[in-house]
Amino acid sequence: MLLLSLIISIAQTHHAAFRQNNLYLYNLNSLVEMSCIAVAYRIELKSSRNKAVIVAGYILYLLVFIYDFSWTHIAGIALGVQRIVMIVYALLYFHYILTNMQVQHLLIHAMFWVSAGAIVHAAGTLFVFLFVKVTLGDLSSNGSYSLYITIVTTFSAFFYIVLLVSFWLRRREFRLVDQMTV
Amino acid sequence: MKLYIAVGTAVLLVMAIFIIVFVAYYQQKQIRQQLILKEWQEKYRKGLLAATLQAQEHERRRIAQDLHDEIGTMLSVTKLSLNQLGRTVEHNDPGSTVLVQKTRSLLDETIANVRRISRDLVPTTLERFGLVSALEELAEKASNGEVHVELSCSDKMPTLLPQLDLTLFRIAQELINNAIKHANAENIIIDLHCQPNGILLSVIDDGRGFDLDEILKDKKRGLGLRNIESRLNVIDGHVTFDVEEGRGSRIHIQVKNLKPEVEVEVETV
Repeated sequence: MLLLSLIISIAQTHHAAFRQNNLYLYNLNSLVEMSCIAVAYRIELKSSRNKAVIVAGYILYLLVFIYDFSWTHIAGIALGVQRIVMIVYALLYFHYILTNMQVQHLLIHAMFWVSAGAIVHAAGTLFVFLFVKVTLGDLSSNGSYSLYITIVTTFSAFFYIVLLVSFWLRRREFRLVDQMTV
Repeated sequence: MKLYIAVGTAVLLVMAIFIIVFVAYYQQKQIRQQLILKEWQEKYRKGLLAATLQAQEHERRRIAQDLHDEIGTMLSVTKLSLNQLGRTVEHNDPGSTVLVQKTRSLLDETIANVRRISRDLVPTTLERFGLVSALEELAEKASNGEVHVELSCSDKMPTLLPQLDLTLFRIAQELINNAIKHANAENIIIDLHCQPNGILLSVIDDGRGFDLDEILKDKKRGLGLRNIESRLNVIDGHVTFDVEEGRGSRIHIQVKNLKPEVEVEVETV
């Protein structure tokens, strides 16, 4: 997900440098993010009910994405729905760890930080995309576009940093499991 | 509109952060409670185990006392009566003397057996002279023409707590019994050593060994080994089985010479 998002970001910068339309890349980035997150939660959440909720959320997102996708505009509704589904996934995971009580040290548990990052990222950018015409619709130099896109980028950066930390924590968890099984 | 978006976003962010903090706090609290519960359960289980072992010892003691005081006394009185009867018969019916003598020797054997069983049930040597003497006696009793049991021991053995003495003695008894009965061992070494952090008891034999996993898998077998683990659990000791099928076994018991949490009461007769 990080790699694909990086490629999309580079493409966005490249398009911007040549003054080409790069807004569709936000939409594609959302699809990449959502797909990777859905797969990660589907692997992590063991119960069939949770898995069904994840699949249903993803299908809902896909339908909205197909309906709302545009090559020239940011698909505000699709991105808004993505945020709502991400919040649902994170809450589902929090519920799962509270009911199963299998995690001994939550603060060094990778998926907890992924969920925390996801929920903060989604909560911080939800309204920006739901009201995309107000927030990102005015592209003039005096308009609000640059302010809101900075907010979105900041939250995305925060989420990706949290993801990187989670990768490191995940590696540590795997090492601990290996040590325990040897 | 932009103000509403800003306020809405702020509210959502606050809620998100609150949820994260709540989940982290609540989960850690639950984990702590779970750990406390586990500790309590473990303590309760140990207490139960200690009580079971204590009850077992009490029962052994009671049976030993009954055998010694009642059956033993009755047999002695019977022997006295038989002796009197023997003297009478010798004068009146010399033919029955052989029968009386045969009965007397059977009675002697029964009295000896009752004494032996009674002594085996309660290790009086252990209570009177300590673990080393009890193990010496055990080695001596177990040794015969086919089996040779040897005790190797540190020169300075500290005085152990009674329950520790009893546990180590019972474990040694069980391991020697296993080595003779199941492993067909010919040479057994009981190694008792004092270490800075506790006591190490090793029972080494040259028998045919056994497959520990296979025995522990089968619930009907390995009762003695499970019993050893249970006894050690009560005093926070641990056992290491260096065993393999086809070669002699080395079983090491390590216990701390500290006052355990759960005490097993040991009464002296």
